[in-house]
Amino acid sequence: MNLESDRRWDQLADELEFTQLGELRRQAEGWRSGLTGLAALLSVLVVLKGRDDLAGLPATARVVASGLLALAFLLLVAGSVLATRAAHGRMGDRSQLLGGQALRRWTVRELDRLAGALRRAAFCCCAGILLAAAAVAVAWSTTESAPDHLVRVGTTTGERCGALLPSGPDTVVLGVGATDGGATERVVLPGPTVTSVTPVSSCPAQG
Amino acid sequence: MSDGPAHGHDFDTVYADVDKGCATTRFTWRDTDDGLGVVVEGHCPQCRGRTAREFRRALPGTGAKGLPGWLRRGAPRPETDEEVLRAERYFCACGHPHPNRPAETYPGRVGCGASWTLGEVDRSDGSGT
Repeated sequence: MNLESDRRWDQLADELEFTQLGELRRQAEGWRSGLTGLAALLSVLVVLKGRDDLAGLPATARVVASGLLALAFLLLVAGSVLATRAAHGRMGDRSQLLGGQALRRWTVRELDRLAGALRRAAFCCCAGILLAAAAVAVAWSTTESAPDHLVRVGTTTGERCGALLPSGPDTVVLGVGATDGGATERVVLPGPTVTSVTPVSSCPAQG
Repeated sequence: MSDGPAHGHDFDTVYADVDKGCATTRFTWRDTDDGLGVVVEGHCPQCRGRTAREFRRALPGTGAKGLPGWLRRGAPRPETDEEVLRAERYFCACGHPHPNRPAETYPGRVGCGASWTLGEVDRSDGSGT
């Protein structure tokens, strides 16, 4: 044992009685900030953002992306709590008889716990970010491209369906056949023959 | 600090950082008057002056067992007061400015510089070991 070190721990334990109120208040402020941040994050994600972004995905992709996002959220919350614990200590300690050696033992244990908390916080945050990125990748890769401006045009000779192209005052121009992956056929319908133009989400397959 | 007549405080002991190991002299402990700590009393094994050390109950920092600790079986139990007292290192605090003492001495540790640990410590009302 190093006598000088023991002497310093001894004096530190003596001083602790006079500083613990300030320490506890700083801890409370840190936890308040951390928990307030978490509550704000939860509010933004759940109340404001909602679930509309995933609504357009196919069923399987929606389930996978939702699961990934939920897991990512949990990991990020856990990581945030662990980081707050590492930065500001744990709540709810009990008063104990404090001498220099008792304080030294507590400090060694606390260092060990802090290192573990930091490792877990880093893992949770990184895993949470990766899972959130995976959810975004799933959403991107499975979202169907937005349909063109498809319209169904009623004419005196029948109906045509296709993408509405720039048209003149006397004509309605459609791009037909673009939805099946083939080349688009440009169809010009004379204005006087057009009886109706109705927006549609898809066109029937061209025979 | 007052000297017990049977011990005889050696005022001429020169200040030195001496580790006396496990003290063979008798030490006792009792609760403080306000009940917020304990006082360990006895005689310094080096200069034989009467010395006392007060320990307060306090929060060591901001730590607790936490959820993993609650879930983990066999988590270390809190130390008893007597275990804490036995594990401590004690420094002479006889209050006498022994020769050659450093200019800067912690106010509560004025003494001959000796330090020791406790083998046995009795509760002063006789209820301890």
